[in-house]
Amino acid sequence: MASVIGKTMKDFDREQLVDAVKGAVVANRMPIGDAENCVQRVIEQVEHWLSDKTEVTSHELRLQAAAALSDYDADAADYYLVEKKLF
Amino acid sequence: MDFSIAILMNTWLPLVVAALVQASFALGVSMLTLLSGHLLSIEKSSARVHRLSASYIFGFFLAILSSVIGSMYILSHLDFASSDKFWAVLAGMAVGIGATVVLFYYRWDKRGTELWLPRRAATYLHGRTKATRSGFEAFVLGVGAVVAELVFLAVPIIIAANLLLGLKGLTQILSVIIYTFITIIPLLALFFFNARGRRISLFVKWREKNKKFLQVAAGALLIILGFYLLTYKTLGG
Repeated sequence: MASVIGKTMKDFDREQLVDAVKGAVVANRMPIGDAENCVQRVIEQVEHWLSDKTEVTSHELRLQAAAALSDYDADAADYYLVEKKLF
Repeated sequence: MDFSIAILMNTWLPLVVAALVQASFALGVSMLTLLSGHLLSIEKSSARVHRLSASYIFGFFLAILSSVIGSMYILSHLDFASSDKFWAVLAGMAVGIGATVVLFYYRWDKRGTELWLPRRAATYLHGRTKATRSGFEAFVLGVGAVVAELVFLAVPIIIAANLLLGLKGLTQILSVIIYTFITIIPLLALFFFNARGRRISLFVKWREKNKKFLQVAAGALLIILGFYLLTYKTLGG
């Protein structure tokens, strides 16, 4: 399992990523059923990308998730990227 | 109400500019964006999202109103408040803060832009905003947004208060309310944007795209306001 380097180093937390991506998608008014399907696909893409890595930064992980999300909802992907940088 | 050219140039014009400068500062809008985005993301009902957003805006409005009225009260007890020297000091502060806004309001790095706030304060506000669940918390958050940015807001508020002291009676009361109302226009815009069911990302994207413009515009307006006050209030424009 890949380690994620942010303020501290920790194992990749699938649930945390699910919550963050789902939050961005639902905040952008995607119906909840569609949002769950979309998040599922995004997480699969991110996990596939992570499969051959041992360490990634939290920023890289965020960019990767946003890139995967942009295939389904480009606006939500932009919001997901910017949300942490609002202030 | 008296709308003579002299009052327009001496009071109303700088007052509106000071309010616009204040309206273009970003922290209040950023916090409301995060608050409404987060509430929507945890599937709260629209009515609840609107109620909490309205509480936040009310807190922000009241904090600005109290700051302006408090400043007016203090300035009304100072003999030198209407003197040329005091106006010159205010003009200098406006130019100084304006330059600071242009140079430091946002920090730019390879990962994007961040507000000037110390990172610990930003992290705390981020966490508090996301943890907000009740109307009262949202109200306090609105007040907090004003307090956190007081270092930039203080100068336009003091200038506005000193300008407002030159008005009397109903005109003064209405002007205080209009000034405060102008400062919350961006918050109201976001509120109605959400109320109409628009996607929050569109609003965020617009702000991201125009961040630099808003920063430079706020700073430049403050600098211009400083020179304008120096001309009209101390050199007798």
